[in-house]
Amino acid sequence: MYNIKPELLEARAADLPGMTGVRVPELFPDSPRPLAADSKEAVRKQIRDLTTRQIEEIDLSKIQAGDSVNILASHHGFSIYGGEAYAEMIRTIRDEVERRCRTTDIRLFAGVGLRFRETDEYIERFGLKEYFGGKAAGISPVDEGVPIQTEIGTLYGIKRAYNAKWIIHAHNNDIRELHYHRLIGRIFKPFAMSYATIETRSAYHQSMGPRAANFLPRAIYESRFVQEKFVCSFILQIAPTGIIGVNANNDLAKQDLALARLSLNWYGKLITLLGSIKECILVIDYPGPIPYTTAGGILFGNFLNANVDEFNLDIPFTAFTRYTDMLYTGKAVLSNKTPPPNPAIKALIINYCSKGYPSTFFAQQIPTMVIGAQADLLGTCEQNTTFMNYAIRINKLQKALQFAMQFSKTSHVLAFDGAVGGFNASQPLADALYELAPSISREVDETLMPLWCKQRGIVSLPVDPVGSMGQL
Amino acid sequence: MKTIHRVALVDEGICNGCGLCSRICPVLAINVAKIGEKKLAVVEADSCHACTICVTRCPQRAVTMAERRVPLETGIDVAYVSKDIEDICHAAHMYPDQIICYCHRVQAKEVVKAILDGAKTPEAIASKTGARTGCGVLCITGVIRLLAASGIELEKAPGYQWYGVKATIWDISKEIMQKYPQYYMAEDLEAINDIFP
Repeated sequence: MYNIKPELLEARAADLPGMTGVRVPELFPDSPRPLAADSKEAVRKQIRDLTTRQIEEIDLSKIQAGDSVNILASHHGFSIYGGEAYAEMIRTIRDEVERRCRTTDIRLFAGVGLRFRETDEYIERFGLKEYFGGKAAGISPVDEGVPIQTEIGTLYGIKRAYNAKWIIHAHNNDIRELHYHRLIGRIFKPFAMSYATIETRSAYHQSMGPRAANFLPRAIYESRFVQEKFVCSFILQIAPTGIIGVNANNDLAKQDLALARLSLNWYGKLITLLGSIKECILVIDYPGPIPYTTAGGILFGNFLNANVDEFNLDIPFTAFTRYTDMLYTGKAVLSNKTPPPNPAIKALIINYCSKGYPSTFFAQQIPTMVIGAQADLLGTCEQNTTFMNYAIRINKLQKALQFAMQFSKTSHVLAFDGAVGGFNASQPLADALYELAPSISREVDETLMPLWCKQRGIVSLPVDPVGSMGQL
Repeated sequence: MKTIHRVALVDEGICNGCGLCSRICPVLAINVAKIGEKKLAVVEADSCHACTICVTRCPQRAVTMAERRVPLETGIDVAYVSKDIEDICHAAHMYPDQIICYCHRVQAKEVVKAILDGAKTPEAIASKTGARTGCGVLCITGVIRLLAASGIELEKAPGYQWYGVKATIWDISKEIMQKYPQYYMAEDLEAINDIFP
């Protein structure tokens, strides 16, 4: 219900003349090796094996026969590389809890972002309602709340998420909203998002500050209410190259630090490389909301901020967060205290995206063209009611690209089209990326990684890409 | 200003009158009424802002959107920023021109004008300005902060619309900031105070 029909797409970015593929392992040979699978069934088998192995190391003794258990999940996991891996991790958790704890009262509640039917659609797509014997449902931030007393006062979770005796957190460590979480407590975030009502989520984006906001999920997690229910956490491990493995832990804080170290290793070089691009035209061509469209596993939202080092915690404001969005009314309320959106982006062409998620900020800041029927979708989007006031409609993708090249004077084109393990880019940009990669790699290893790790209290160690699968 | 082209429509054959839609509507445009022998959700068309929250949460999938015959105009035009508006925004650590609702680009001054014109709840503000009638999530604390800065104490929402959360960086104690230094709370307080009034 959130996209135009694919048959309305007259062309795709990757098929445009002059586009080529750039593989992450060829840019950075020390990239982690992803799971390889020839079929959906093979993915499922590997994830089931990894999850089963991890759960054997976990203490489930709190859960007694007949106890109720809620597995808490989030929408985004179902959109990673087709979603089958995340769905299988959840199925396996369910089966192993039933087998080891002798309880059948196991439910799945999966939260959403800002599109409240999204998770219901995933549950249907992956047959999870049937798998959980009817006990699977999407939950949303407008659902009934439950008060949670925290160190900073009362916050509200979604009542149904916490209506069991025990909860199990089932999430992922995809870098995703680096511009929001800044890799501070990244895997805690659903406690103030997917499992929380609107005010807790709104406080995160409007009332706490760009780094401090990440304390909200931690405060909820540390509350007595949650601690009395929390059993363990399962994380689907994601890198720019693909799905790496599954990790489980009874201690979310320890797990978070260990995974943050891996994410710095896995994503640090790639995001720094993207930040070194001096000029380019972006083509969005993926059925996700604009800020959540991806290239090589990196969000458009992150690329918009790539002109500053988002990992560096000494920098308070990156170009795009909801704090800076508040300060742009078409023109900046303040012009000198926050960095501008990545000036390398000379034009934005939207060929295919979902509706939902407020994105007018982007069109206000970057020359934006929307192709064909996609313009009709954005023109009627409830969350972007003025978006098309700032964008122009063009009927053909190639015409839009020619126009963008003409006014921007660049031949660098990058597609945010959900490509896995690499990018679709124009040949000149691909050549530039290959040329820059070795020096970026050295800069990250020698200068940036030690800084990023120190800021987070993490011991900086090189990661063995082969041995990292599920092992922390 | 916002032009609303659509309106929620309840399929009476599917609706079971559970009332969830009325408890989550940000402008209180839906009520449950007994019609004949059946309880049904009833949409007040002149109040509906077409946010689609009811469409996406109805457990029966009984609500859809229909085109309005005549579009509905809503919103507040603030011709000039009075000292009252400026003072209330300042007390809430906001600029009059800053965005509160990202979806409809509603500004703080419009929310305050609505309050000065008599809106005393988030629902009344949503009806007058359109704030909260997009995603329905992100701007609620901005609205609550402006109501508090106007001296209005919220009591209880009619449904699940809000609970009155007041977690802000200005409320965090020094002890908490020192206990969790990795969250940069003291530094963010300084950065926020530098950028917001």
